Amino acid sequence: MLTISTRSKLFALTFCVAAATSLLLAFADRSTAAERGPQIGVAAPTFTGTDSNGNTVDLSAFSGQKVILEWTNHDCPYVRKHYDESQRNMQTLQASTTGAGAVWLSVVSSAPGKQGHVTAVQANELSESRGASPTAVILDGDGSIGRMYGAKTTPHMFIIDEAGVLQYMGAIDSKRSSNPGDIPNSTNYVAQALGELGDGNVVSTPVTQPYGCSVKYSG
Amino acid sequence: MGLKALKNLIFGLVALVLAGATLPAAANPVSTPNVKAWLISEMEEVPAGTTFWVALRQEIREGWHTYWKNPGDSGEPTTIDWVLPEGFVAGDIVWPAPERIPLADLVNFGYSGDLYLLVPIIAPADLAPGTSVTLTANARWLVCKDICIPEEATLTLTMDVASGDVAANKIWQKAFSNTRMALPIPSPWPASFGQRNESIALQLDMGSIDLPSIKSVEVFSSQEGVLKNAVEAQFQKTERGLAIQLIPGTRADEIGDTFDGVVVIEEDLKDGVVRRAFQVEADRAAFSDLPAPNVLSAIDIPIWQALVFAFIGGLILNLMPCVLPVLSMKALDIVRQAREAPWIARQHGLSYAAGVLVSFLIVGGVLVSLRSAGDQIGWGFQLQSPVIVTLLAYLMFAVGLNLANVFSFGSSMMGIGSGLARGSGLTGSFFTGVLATVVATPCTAPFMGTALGFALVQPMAIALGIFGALGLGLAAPYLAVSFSPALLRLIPKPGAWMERFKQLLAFPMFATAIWLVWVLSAQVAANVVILVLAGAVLIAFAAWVFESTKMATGTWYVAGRVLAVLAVGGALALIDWSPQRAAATTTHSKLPEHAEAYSDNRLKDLLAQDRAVFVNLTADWCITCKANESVAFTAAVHEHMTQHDIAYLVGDWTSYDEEIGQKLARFGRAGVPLYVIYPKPSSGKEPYLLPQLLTEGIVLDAFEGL
Repeated sequence: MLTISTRSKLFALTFCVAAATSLLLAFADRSTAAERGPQIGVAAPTFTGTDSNGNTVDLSAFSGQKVILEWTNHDCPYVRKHYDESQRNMQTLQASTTGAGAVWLSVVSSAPGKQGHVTAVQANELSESRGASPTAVILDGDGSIGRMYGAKTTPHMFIIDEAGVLQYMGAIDSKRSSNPGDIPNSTNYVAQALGELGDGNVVSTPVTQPYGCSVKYSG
Repeated sequence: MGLKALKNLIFGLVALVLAGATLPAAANPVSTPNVKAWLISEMEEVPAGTTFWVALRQEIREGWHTYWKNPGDSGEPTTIDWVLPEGFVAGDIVWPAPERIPLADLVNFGYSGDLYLLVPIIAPADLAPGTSVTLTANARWLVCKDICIPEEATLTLTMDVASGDVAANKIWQKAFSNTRMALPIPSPWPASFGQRNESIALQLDMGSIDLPSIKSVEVFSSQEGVLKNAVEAQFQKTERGLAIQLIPGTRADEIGDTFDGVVVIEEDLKDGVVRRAFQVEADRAAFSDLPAPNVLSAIDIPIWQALVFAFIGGLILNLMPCVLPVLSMKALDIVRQAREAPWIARQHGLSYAAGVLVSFLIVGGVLVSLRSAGDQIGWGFQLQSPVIVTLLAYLMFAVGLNLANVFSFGSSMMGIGSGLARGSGLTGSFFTGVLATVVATPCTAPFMGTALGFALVQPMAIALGIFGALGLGLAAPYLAVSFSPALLRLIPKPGAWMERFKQLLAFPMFATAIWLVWVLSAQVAANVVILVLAGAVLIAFAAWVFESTKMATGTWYVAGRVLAVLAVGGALALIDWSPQRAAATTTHSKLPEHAEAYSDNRLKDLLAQDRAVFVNLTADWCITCKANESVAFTAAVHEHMTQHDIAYLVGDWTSYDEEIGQKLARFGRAGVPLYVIYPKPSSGKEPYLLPQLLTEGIVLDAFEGL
């Protein structure tokens, strides 16, 4: 009956306590509210894309291997710095990492008509002429993968470990410049992080400020 | 013109050219493809032993820009390497406030047009007057439009050492003083900031000064990567001054105890827009100590109007299907009591009202404090938690069982009179009020939306006043009945019909329970829903055992109570208590074919394509929303949208969604439903809101305004 007597007080009180508890519980997890883009120590967003050979590339297929994502735009002076013949910085890193069993995906998110946009043929010609050896060049003209990762600059680097967890994001190295001459005096964050992961250590510098040209997204 | 005059003119021109040629700026300026650069001094000569100012001037090609010290999402700041004579020391560049430079998804910070980067130079004291010194600046910059080009220039400036007082350079003096006037000044107001999850609150304690003229607020962090640059700062004027909301970037964890940056405030004054920049060093404070960084734009209603709306909203709440049964029962009780002793009925009316008021004040207090702690929650937020939805479903079911006489509290022998005589019924009435509030929470009645939206951005006292008015509205009919004999007479005499009527009311309660389970099914996996249904069986069992053994004595009575408690405990144990918010990804309600899921970006895209957009923010637990969707969103409405190329975006708030929470706040609403029509941007019309209760006619009429 709703002309409730003393016992019903217990009922009502119990409910109030339960409701209050669950309110607290419900708010305790507000901290997990998402969307700051990819985060270190958390599973990297998965994607499928098409590479310059027309193959479908599925990130989740590389589970068990390290994956390095490199956002690139061959006409950007900062990218040219790292592909410059004098240092061959990016090429060397690609060869050593893929040689060690890792997967290197170069991603081109330049929209059609914008700087750095390439056709499949051009992408392959560029790899050829620059002596680059990525596992695949992913053509992301609509920018969907770039936006998923919050890729801001070319170059912008990401390292995903064997378990699919993001371990590094940021710049290729410590000297923000477009001058290849600065490369010998800089710390290569990607090489450093890969070395630390290889030694079973945690990455000491997991997030750095990427530098370079803006990714030439559509819109 | 005479010959002499002509001669004078030629002589003058030659002198001018010669003077120009002998200016110490021979290797100065330097033109690169996109920038013309100068190295200039504010003083005519070098004053020994003091600091004087020089500047790197960049005249940037139209449409191109160079960068601030924090270039934003990409880019590189301009740097200067100095080659100076012995004893000279150059300071750092003093950066003017930058502009936001959006580029597709990214935002950079930098400059366009004519830029002066000021640098202080300390000259040594032991300079010989009459000699000259040469300052060399190796300047590098990145200049970008849609593409970026690194450029550099070596600029030299040769100046004489002054022998006495130094005169200002007549050509550049003005530029120096203009630049200096526009530099960020140290903020005259104490600043603090707090960081929590997806929000950074920055507070400028300007006091309660009236700032109606503030048009825009921009925040530039000196530290790179700590803010999400693409999201513009949102601001609100509070009692303490200016509350600014920022979104953290990938490196937000690297903010230390101070947030260092430049805040640019644009004011709309009579003689045009004034842009002022302030250097801010904010100390870290507890997030909860900072005023709510919510945006208040749409609501600007007087307090009395909000109170009236709240009261009317509370009244209408009485008619909601989940509240009605509980309240009808209360009404019947009051009728019964009033027949026996009117003064007792009044006491019950009052304690019921007190129950409603107290619970509304508690809910309001919790809501406002969570809001001020930065949570994007609103009315109905309770139903975003699967645990609470489950508890409510159990409660509705239990109340239904009670109404259907499966179980009852108290001895059936206990006469109404005896209960009243002991006065214990008053606490009962109080808790009925609490119960009414609990069951009312899923419903947003029309008028409540505006009032609640208003309440949530007010200081605590006003907010609580509005929640109080809402409670008064909910309690009003029963207060009126218990106090007015005339109204009482309108209700039929108590009798056997009351028992039947009470049992009938069990069915809306069961229906409400089913609806809550449906809401739950949109939030959690199917097996969890089945567990909850099993829990309902346990509750029914508990009710039956409780009732069957109520009159028993000794062991049976104890065993009955123990079993009932165990069964309720079992039902509670079946709930998934893990503090997980309903997965936001579950899509449940069938959207019409042309509808798309709402996101800020999608809305921006559509508007960028110059399309009209109809935004519907809804939730499965929102009865008003569901009613509107079935009554007003008819085939004709959908057809109108497809025919007239009106995009339809549906935002689902059944589960917590920060973006939708912010969107609601932007329109001054605390909860769903919210209906907004965005006309084509090219039409120049402002977006407008639809009422919370819709008919097909209202919607179609609203489309006519496009």
